[in-house]
Amino acid sequence: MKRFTFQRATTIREAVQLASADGASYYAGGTNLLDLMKHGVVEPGTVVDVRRIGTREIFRTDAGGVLIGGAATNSAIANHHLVRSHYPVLSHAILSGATTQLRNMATAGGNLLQRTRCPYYMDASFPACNKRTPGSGCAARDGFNREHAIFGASDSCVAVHPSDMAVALAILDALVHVESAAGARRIPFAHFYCLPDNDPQRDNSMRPGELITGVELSPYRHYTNGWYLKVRDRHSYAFALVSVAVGLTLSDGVITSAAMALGGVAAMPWRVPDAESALIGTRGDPASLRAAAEMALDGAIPLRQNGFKIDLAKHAMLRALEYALVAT
Amino acid sequence: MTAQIGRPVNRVEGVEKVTGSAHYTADTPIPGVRHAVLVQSEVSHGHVAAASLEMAARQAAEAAGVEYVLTSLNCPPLNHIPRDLTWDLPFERRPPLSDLTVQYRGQHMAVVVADTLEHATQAASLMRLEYQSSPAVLTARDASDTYQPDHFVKLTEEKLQDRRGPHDEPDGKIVSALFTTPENAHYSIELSATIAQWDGDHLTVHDSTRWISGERRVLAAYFGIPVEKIRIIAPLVGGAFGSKSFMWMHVALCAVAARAIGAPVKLVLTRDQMFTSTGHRPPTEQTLRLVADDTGRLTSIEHHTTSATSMVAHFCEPAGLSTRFLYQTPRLVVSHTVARTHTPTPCFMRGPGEAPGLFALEVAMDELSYVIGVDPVQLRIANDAHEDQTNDSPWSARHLLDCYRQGDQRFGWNERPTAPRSLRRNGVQVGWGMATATYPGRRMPAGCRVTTANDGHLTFASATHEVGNGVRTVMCQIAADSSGMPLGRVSFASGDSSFPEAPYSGASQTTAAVGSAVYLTAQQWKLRVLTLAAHELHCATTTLDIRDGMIVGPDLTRPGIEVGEILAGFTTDLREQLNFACASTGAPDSGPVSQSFGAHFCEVEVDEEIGRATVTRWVAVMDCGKVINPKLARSQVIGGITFGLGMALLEQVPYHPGTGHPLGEYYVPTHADVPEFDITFIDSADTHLTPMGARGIGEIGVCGVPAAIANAIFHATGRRLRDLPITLEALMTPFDLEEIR
Amino acid sequence: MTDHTITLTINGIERLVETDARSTLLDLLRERLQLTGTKKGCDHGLCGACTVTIDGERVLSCLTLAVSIDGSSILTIEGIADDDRLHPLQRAFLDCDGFQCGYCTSGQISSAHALLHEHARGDLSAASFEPPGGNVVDGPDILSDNEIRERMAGNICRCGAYPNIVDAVASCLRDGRP
Repeated sequence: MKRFTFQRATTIREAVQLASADGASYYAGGTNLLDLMKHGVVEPGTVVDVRRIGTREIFRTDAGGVLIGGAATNSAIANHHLVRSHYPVLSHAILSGATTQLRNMATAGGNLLQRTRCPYYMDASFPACNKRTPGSGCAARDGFNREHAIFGASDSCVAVHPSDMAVALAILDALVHVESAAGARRIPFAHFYCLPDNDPQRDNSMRPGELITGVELSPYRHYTNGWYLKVRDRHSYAFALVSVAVGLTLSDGVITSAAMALGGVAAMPWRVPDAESALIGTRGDPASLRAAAEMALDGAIPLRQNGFKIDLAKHAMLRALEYALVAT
Repeated sequence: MTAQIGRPVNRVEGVEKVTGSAHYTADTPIPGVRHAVLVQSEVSHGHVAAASLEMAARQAAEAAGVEYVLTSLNCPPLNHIPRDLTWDLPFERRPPLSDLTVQYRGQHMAVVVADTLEHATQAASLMRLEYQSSPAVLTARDASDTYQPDHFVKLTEEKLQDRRGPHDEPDGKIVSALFTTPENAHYSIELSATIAQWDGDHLTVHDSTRWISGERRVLAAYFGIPVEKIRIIAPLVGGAFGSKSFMWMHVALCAVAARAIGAPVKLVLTRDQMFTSTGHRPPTEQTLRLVADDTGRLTSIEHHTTSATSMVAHFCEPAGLSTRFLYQTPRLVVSHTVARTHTPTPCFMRGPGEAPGLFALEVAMDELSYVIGVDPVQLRIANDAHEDQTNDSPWSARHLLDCYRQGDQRFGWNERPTAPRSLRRNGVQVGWGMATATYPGRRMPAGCRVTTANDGHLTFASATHEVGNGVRTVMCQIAADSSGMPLGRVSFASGDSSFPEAPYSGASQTTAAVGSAVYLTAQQWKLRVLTLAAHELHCATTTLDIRDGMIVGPDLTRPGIEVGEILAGFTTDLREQLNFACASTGAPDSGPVSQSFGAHFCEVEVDEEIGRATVTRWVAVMDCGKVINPKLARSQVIGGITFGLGMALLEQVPYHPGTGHPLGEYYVPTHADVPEFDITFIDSADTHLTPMGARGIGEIGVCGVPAAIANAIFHATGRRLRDLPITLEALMTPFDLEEIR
Repeated sequence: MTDHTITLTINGIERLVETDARSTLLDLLRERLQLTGTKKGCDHGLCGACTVTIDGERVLSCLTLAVSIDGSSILTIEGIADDDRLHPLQRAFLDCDGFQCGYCTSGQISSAHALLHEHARGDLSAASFEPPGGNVVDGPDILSDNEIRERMAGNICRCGAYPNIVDAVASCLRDGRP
């Protein structure tokens, strides 16, 4: 690993100031950044520790929602009574990711910002990776792409975003609070991630030096029914091949609102608005659920090795809906 | 006297292991140790440009903290190793760092030595080498350089090309299929570690090795120094499963580096390097042809295997060896073809041959059971072999039919509906499958010494290896029973070449080999004590015995005399007679064949919507001779089954297509992947092989497991899967919009 | 080159340690402090062998920058026993044969030790959500074997001691020890 300067910030202001140095990276849990540094994929000259800047708390907002501090650990979020009570699908999604040890280290901000697990990205000895080295090509397009995208990919990049937490935040229409030396702003979750298009180096719409200070959950996204389903190659401790987050609101047995998102299929959690609309007004009968699952995969484009993800995602979506109807 | 053999004694090194005070190689504190990091090739075939190697070495040498950079440009030539030291082992004849050629991706190109691990790692990453790439042959299918070895490693009777019976295949019911198994990695959690230290011309090597005696000889040969000047220490080894030994080049390079800088050097392989630098199980393609009459009696078996080796060493995965004898058949053809490829050197991996070979054979037998219309267990029983047909010899002990019957009964197999897709539960398909297991009973010569302390505490020692097999515990049990001393008064030390020689810890032979030496030595010790005691006590030696640490005999004036008391009365010279070494021979050359057998029965749930197979319960009944320690034996078999589960459902190394560049993660089973286990031992002594009656149990657990799982998956789904690992894509059904549920 | 001096309380003893900024806690423990009970199995967060407890929570020391935990309190495997008295978990691992080669054992026990207090304070796992319809606000009173397996899934054992490890952990949960 290349030498770097380690700085510990004690306030948000100090953090964003330190991060204005060239080649600076924020450091929280380290579960992704340190791993990538060991692989030689990223080589920050300065590492700014942001775990003790006052953003670890999880509390109820005045509006009746919940604000999760950017440095709150995944475990703390998943186990927090506010999350378990009002947003259990978020708890479920977080707990489906990684392992207890990793969840104890990883933070909300770090989880959102983790990079793809594409093996070409993570191995600096592969020359062709546009996300790592713009303009170098994409080895995965015609290479090993079993784990890659079926939505939103471009000629320049077919990677998927690996976060489970993000898929749940997508159906909760969370708000990402960020701050930089230029000030603070809030990014609606639907606008947080970017598709690769021609600039796969950008995973998200954050600006240089911006720091995630919190993730806000809306009081208007309490679902009566929800589920997170994750399909992977072994029974635990593996990233998703496909995952689904479902949030439904039922009133007298009728679905009055529905939010579904797919994970493991794109560079961002993939909302499926048409399928969601198709469920509204139904009673969640088998035919309606099945039709919604089918519709959710409209427009999916397989690569050479990942075509199975299309049917898998339909199966997973259907099952997640069925389980959600039982899980209140 | 309470016999210790057969008791579920806790591991003697257990307290150290659960408190973190157990020492493995990399834990050894060596003052002034330097850290070494390997640089490996990034192309599969070609050569490195000398100028780039020189420049990269210079760059690394100038980096912070670096003391030495070893490459083929400055590596002192190592001697070639004579064949009689290494026989037909997968050992690279070309010494490491001897030229600029590259024969596989992952080949060692340099060793960077620095004062700290961080400095060495950083400097190594600076070495960007330029290669002249040549076309590489990466799979057996693409290889034109192939050969057919005669036998497996040392034993000429393990014929890799074999036939018997009529030349032509008879008519009948036929099963013919192609099976493939992928590359598998040992994936022991302990990363291979070596610490080399010179003191003048004496070399001490701490190494996570399972072959102390061999390593000592090979290092002596490499450096051209007498064996007596080399000491190998392997305190504990964190799992080997067939990897880890002198065969891997980094051990010698670590010693070269240490000599060059005149300081001890520690080298720990990275996890990535473990895939290319300490062997692997090569991929196989196997064709199986079974022919049977209408009742299911086999009339012909053909088993043809192709596997791959590197360009610089020979290894053949002997998948067809068990097929030669497992079932009664008048006609047999077995062949093995090895293809030379530009891939790292493979080697033995738990159940070498048996693991992939029984996958093919036992799935083919399952297929045959359906063709004939007979229960899979009944088919095996109908074809049970009466003797070892490869040499017309009887087995010393064979209780395979008991294994089938007990397994059948414990599992509840008689309730199995024959037709596939008959069982369903909670929305998933359920299947039951079984397979036969077998593994040879091996025993090589071994030595043991005993040292008697003044208080009567005995320490037995042999240069064997505690790799998790429980050898240190089991040897204490054998020594206690054979000497008559209580378990608490005997210890067993391993892991040091200054102890009497022992064979490699492999081929499941440690209990048999070292156990026999311990048994003999302890027996001899008792005889010596009693002879000396008889003289002191004025009675005949033959009337005395030692039980629970007491000398007893009808002519004694007391019911028993503590051994310690008698020893206290001996002069120093007499007590010296109780410190000595014994050697035991290998298995007898002729006579019955020692072989272990077993039966696996398992249930697998297949969730066809998300393509997931879950192994829910497992029954295994094993005939492995006398079980010295049932607690440890059970653990070994469970470990083997778990190993086989990984092979069946999870393990493969993905590569960037057309290259030898591995990608991604290698999945082994987690806590969440394993079933409930029900393990039984027939526990019938095989005294032909060893005086204690033990055979080996380290590997038989994995044998047959992938087939049992694949057969259960067939029973659950109707899909006959012959390519490992069985992944989601093979199990998932298409999504049907119209399906009514 | 050591460019930082940090204070760590390790197994109750405060220590001033010089470290390279790049050094992981794992390498610091093993190479600088000779606390070799914690093991390196992969160095990339894929096996759990390096599990220790920092400020009361179990983490992977191979992905922890030592400089980032200046002032923290660390519990390693060496600190789990009470001098000569084994922790009930360690006793259970011995009796249940919860290890073979022993290399992953420090991590398994460190994880299991943390699991006991995680359960005591009502933490969930993914298994707590199965089957659908369960009460995840309160969480499980009793941990099923499935729960234990999921909570331990971050610790790989190649020797396959898994069922014995689960038995050892379950025995300590049964006995209600903290």
